[in-house]
Amino acid sequence: MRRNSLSLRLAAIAGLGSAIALVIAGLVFITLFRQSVERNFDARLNVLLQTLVGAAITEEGIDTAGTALVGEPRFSLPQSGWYWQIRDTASGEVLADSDSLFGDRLALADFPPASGAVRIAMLKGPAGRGLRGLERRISPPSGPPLAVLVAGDADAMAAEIAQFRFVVFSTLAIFAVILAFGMAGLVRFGLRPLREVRHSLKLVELGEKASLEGEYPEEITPLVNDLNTLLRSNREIVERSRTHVGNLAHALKTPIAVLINEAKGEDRLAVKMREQAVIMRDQIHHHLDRARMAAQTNVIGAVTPVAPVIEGILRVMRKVHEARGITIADDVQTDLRFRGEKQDLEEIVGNLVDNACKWAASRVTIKARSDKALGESRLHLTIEDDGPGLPGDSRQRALRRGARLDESKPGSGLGLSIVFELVELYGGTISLEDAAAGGLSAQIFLPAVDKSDI
Amino acid sequence: MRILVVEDDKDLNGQLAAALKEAGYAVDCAFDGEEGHFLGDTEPYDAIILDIGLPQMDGLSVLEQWRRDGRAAPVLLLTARDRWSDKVQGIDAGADDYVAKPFHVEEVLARIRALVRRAAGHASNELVCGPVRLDLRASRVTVDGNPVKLTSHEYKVLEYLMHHTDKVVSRTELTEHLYDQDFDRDSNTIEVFVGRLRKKLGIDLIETVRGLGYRIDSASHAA
Repeated sequence: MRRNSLSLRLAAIAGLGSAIALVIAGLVFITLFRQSVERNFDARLNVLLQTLVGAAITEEGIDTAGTALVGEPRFSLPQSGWYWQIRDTASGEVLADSDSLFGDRLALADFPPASGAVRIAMLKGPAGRGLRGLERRISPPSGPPLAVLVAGDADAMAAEIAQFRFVVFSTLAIFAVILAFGMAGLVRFGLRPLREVRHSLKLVELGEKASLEGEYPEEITPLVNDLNTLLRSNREIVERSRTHVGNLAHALKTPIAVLINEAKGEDRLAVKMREQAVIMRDQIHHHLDRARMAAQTNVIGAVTPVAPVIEGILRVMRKVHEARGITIADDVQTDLRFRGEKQDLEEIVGNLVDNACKWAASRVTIKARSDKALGESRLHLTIEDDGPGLPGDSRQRALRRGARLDESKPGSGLGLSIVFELVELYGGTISLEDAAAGGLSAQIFLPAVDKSDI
Repeated sequence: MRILVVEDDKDLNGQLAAALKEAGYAVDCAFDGEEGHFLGDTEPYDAIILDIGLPQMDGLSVLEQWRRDGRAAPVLLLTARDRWSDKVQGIDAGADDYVAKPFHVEEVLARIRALVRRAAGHASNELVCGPVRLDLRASRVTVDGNPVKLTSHEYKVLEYLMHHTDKVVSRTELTEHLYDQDFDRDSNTIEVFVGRLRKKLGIDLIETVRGLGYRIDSASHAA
């Protein structure tokens, strides 16, 4: 997942939020549980304290015999963790204690408050066990005030709390895992329309669809509509400018043809007129081609099946060059698709094949293959003839604008330069090499669309 | 040889017609699609020059209709929109060749010559029959290498017959292909031309098939 991703953002917010909530919930549960356990424990100690006071302190002083009746057998078991002890607040001397203490002392530094309120004391018992006790000052009818302490095993309580904490945290951890899965599903489900938009856009880019299709949630419907409008207007602008260019071409070319043919003879005016008309013709040709090209760059979703284009051009070439007895062999992979405008592919293939036919002695070959380089799908076109070929320095010149290598073959000479510019515009490459048959071999690489790109 | 020019631009049409006439063709002109279609449908032309952008009925529709109705005359398309898809459409509609505007009239003449030749099944610019050689580009005729001076009508008769060797060509057919629409046709003049041709060539090249017309038999004149 990339750093700047909606899924990551949602997951981070949800994950962090629920983690904090779960931890707080756990802490609250444990605190409440601890308080409840302690309250129960204290209530029990309090009962024992009351009973002990009632049983042990009589008018005559401390009656240890009665203490057996307190109702807690653990006071009699040695080191049971449950003890009581009565001290003299004046001397600090222990006046009586439970049998369970077995002669030990529960060490306390001070005495409970004189008000008679019960205080909670945390202390260490025999064998170092933690105890929790309640102590209270009692003033018997005779003798000095006494400090009565009842203590129970706090370690057992702590263990109980620890166990509860373990249960709470493991339950919450399971919760967290379930929540995480739930959130992942939520993110996937919630972001599905966005993924659908992306997929639709990909289809448009590949020329499978003209616009984004499907029902989208109201939050992104405006975005989808805007995108569709943009796509449509893009196409319309291209279409319009192409029509304009075509109309302009038609409107200008006929008068220029008239001028060129009217300027007969060798007088100064006729020569000048002919010369200027030819310049006009070439300029119009050049700039109309450029205008056409400029109009169609960056059209999203332009994809052209290759085979029908080549077939159409070969039909033209076979007919036109029929009388010269030229064989045009084609070897075209059927499912090739060019990532670009049909007209541009026609221009590239048409001009090259036309050139090859003009120069060929008897045979022209056109081959179209798909080709993968650096993970990019490419279209590899080879157009060969068995004509006289072209020496190295002329090849570069051939691709320049308006250069005509031989005035004897018809054509305005702009053919190869427009091919070169179109190929460059699409980020492709073109090279002119020696063909095996002796003539020229043009190798063109152009961007292609692979079905697997979708 | 009779040619139809269908082009709505009057100047260009005139230039083409003038150049074609100068080259020895009989020429009819049409200035819109409907007129062009009607002429091509009813008159026997040896080749047709057809502009694509025409008023009333566009060139491609005209062409398609001719081909549907079985009119097989070779057609040279004139196109200003020189996109390849237009060329493909043109050829698919039944055209035999195309020339992109603006063009030199000479280019159109060369293409027309090639089309007529191709339609007659000849591959070169020279028609040969025994000692008689006819150079289509220069409109020159030689017998055994000696140039023969012919008038334009005599040349046209000879050219037509040599394009259609081994076929009987009727006088009507000759008239139809030698004169344009507005010409006052009189088939007797054909007889006069053939007579003069026989005299000038000095050999018995053209035979008369009684009641049917004329024929040049290539086999009996093979060198």
